[in-house]
Amino acid sequence: MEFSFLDELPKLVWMLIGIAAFLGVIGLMLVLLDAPRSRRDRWQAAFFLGPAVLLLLGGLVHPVVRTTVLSFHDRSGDAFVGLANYQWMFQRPEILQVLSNTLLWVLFAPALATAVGLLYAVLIDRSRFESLAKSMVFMPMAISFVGASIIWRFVYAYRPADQEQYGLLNQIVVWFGGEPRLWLLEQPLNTFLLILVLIWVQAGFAMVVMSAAIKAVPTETVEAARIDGAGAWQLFARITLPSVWPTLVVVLITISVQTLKIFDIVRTMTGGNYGTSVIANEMYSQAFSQGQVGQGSALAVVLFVLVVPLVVLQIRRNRKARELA
Amino acid sequence: MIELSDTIAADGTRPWCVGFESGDATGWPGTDWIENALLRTSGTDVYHDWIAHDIPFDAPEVEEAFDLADGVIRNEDYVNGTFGGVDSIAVTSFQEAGAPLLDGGCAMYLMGSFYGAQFEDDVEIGEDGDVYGFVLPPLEADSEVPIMGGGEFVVAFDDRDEVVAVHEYLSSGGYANQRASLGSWVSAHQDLDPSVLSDPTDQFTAEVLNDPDTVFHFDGSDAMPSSVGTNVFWSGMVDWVTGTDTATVLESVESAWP
Repeated sequence: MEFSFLDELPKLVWMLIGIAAFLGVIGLMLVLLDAPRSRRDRWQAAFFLGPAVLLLLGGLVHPVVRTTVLSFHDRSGDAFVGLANYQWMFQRPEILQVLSNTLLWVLFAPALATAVGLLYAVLIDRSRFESLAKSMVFMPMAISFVGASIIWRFVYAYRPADQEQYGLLNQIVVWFGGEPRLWLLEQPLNTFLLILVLIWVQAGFAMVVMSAAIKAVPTETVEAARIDGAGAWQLFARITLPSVWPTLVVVLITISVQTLKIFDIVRTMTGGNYGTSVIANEMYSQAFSQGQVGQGSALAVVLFVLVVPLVVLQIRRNRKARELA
Repeated sequence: MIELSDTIAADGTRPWCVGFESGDATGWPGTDWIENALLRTSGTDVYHDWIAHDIPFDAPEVEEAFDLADGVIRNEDYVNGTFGGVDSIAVTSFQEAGAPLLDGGCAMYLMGSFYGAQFEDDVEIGEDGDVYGFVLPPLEADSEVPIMGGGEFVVAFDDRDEVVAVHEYLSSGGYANQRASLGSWVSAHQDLDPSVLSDPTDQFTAEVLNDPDTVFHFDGSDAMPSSVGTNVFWSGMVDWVTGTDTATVLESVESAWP
C-alpha cells in the first residue's frame, strides 16, 4: 500500500482542524484560568510545559481527534456516514442496555465504595487495631482488577444442589437452606454482583484517603463540640462530614472516572455476556473483535464525553482549593 | 442418536455435556451445534446458501435445525452432565464441560477434535480407553455423513521470493508431518503420515479427513461476516440456552446481518 499525500489530504485537513480546535479550547482555558503574569513567566511556562504538551499532542490529542473522525465513518473507516453510528448506538436494544448498565455502574459503584470507605474509616478511627484493620481493607487494592475478578468468579461459582458447592456465595445460601443459583446469569442482579467487585477493590482507597482527612479535623473543633454536648451521630454529621467533604468529593470523582472506564472486571467475569456489558467493553468488542471501527469509535467518543465533565470538575475544585490556600 | 440419548437418560445419567463459556467468545460451541444440525436436517446446499445469506438466517430450514438441537441441548433430561440445568450451559466453559465424561457424569460431548489435548496425560484415549471420539451420525442410517470443521489459513501480505518460499513450505507435506509430530495438530494434507500423530484423537481425525467419502464443510459461523459469525450468533446462542425462544434469536441474528 502506497502512502499518497494527496489521497490522505482530506484526512490530514480534518486532523489539523481538530488539533487546532483542541488547542484553541485548551489555550483559551489556560488564558482565562491562569494568565501568566509577566514575559519571564511565559517563557518559563513554555520551557517546562513544552515536552508535556508534545507528548500530549501525540498520545492524547491525536487519538482523540482521529477517533472522533472515525466515529463518523463506516466499519472500515473509509466512507463518511454522518451520524449513523450514533443513531445505531441509541437504537439497538443491546447497546441501550450497555449504556444503562454503565449508568448503573456510575450511580452505585462510586457512591457505595466511598460510603463503605468513609464508614469504615470512622468506625476504626483511633481504635486499638486501627493499622491492622486498615491493612485488611486496603489489601484488595494490591490485586489487579483481573485478579480480583477471577477470585470473585470462584465466589459466584455454581454447582447443582445435589453436589458440593465450591462457590462461597452458593455455599452460604445452601447453609441457610436455600437453593444454589446461577448468579452471573440473573439480570440485572449480575451487574450489581460485578459492581461489588469494584467496591471490594476500591473501598480500601476510599478508606485510606478518608481516614487521613478525618485525622486532619482539628481536635479543638471536636473537643468544643463534645463540651457542647454533641453525641456520636451529631459529631459525625455536623463536624466530621462537613470537614472531610472536599476530600469526599475528590474520592467520589476519582472512583467515578474509574467506573466509567471499567473494562477488566466485565471482560474477565462475563466477557460482556448475560447482559452485563458496559461502554468500554463494548467499544473494544466492536472495534477490535468485530472490526466495526466506526461503531467502536462512536462508543469511545461517548465515553470520552462522559468522562470530560468529571475531569473538568476535578480541575476546578483543585483550583478553588489552591485559591483558598 | 436420540434413541441412545433416551436410553442413557433412562439410566439416570445425563447423556450430554454442553458448555458455551469461552470468555469474550462465549457462545461459539452453540453455533457448532446448529451447524451440525442444519447439515443433517437440510443438507449441504441449504447449509451453504445459509452461510452466503442466499437464504435468510431465520429461514424455516434453520428453524428446523434449531428445533433438532432444542431437543438435545435444551432438554432437561439430556443436559447438562453434572453442571446443572439447561441454563448452566451458558456459564460452563467449553474446557471444563467435557470433564464429567471421565467419571460418568455425562456420556457425550460435542466438541472439536482439538479437545483431545484437554485431557490429562493419564487419561487413556482410545476405543477401549477412558474416552474416545466418534463422528456425529446423520439422521438416516444410509445418508451421507457430513463433517464440519474449522481450520487455519496461511496468508501472505507480500509476494517477495522469501515470503513465497515460506508460504510454499507451510503448505507442503513435510511441514504437515513436522508440525503434526509436535502434537495437538492435525491436517487433511494428503501426504500426512498417520504414524507421526501421537494423539489418538488426531489419528482418528486424520482418518476421517482422509476418507475419500468424507465431505468436509467449513464452519458456518467462521465463514459468515464477523458481525454475525463472531458476534450476534454467539450471543444469540447464549440467549437461547438461557431461555429466549428460537424465533426471537433467529430474528435478532438476521437483523444484524450487514
